[in-house]
Amino acid sequence: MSAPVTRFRTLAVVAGLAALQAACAQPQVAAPGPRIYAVDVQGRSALCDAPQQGVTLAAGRQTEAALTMGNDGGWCGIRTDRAGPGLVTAKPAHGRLHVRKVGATTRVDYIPDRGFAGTDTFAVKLLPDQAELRVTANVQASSTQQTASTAAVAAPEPAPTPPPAKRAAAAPPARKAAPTKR
Amino acid sequence: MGVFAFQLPRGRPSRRAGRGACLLAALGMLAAPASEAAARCASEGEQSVFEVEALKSELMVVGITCKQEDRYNAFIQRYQPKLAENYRSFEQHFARARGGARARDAYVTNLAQVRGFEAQKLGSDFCLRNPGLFDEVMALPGAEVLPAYAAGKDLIPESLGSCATQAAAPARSAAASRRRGR
Repeated sequence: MSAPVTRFRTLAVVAGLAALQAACAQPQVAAPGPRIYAVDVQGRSALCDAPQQGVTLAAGRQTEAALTMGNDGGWCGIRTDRAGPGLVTAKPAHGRLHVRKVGATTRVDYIPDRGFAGTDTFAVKLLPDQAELRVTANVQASSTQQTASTAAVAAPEPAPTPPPAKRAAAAPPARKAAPTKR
Repeated sequence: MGVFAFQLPRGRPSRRAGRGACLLAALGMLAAPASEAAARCASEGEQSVFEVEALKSELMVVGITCKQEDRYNAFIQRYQPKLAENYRSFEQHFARARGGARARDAYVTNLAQVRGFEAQKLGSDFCLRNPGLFDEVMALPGAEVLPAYAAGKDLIPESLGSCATQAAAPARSAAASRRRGR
């Protein structure tokens, strides 16, 4: 009498484990949405202190923002909640601007002139609703003139793949291969 | 045809010529001294002239590389009066300050070459990402905002600058020096 019950329990546990394993093994699909290209996240200044969550703009109105960055050849950008093209209404006196769509929204990047340190200001109007972003950039002299590397990428959430895990994953096939030779 | 004739006095470039241009651009970029800062024009109006020319050049490269000549032609047709006026100012600048048509042609060629090189660097991403420029530029409310749009695209290569007199023909000189070296 107890044997069928035990068998049933075992089957239930096995089925449960199988279901759990299947759920965990589901491929992680990237969140749907516009693609973010590597070229748009590479080259960020090693020191780039800009509003983390981006800036919420208001239609037909001005919004102030500030950024602090190092002058190492890289850019520092402010993400907006708009997706339209930008019109430069006030050019920076000591740098260049790159207004680009990154994923679903427009980002305003500032690139200071080589050797510049100090304060610069600029303004960009985003279409179609004429929301204006006015930025004060505080540029700090960089001790090293190295260009910001891909390590300073502002990717949303890079998948961490530590080297030890890779080594551990690579080890079993080698062990398996040895017995087959014998 | 007339549209392309306006853009490219030497005739419509073939795909092979485009590849050659990219190679030359690569050589030019290798030889371009990294220490040269992008020299901006003292006059904001003159700087805008260069920025609009750089935008036109970029769109031409996107149009040819990504087989979107129709979209490029649509851009030219829509903004023809503004582009013609801009090109006249561009010519006048070179006639006045840079020695005339030869320097102007060299600059235009180098600009297209550098843009072509940038396209090569992006690889397969280029034709996925950059045709978005056509969407943006055609969404602008009118030709009067074209300079403000171009100002936010950072399309003038640092190695060329805009009003710098040394930006005559780095790509050609690089290619020539390599030939001499062989």
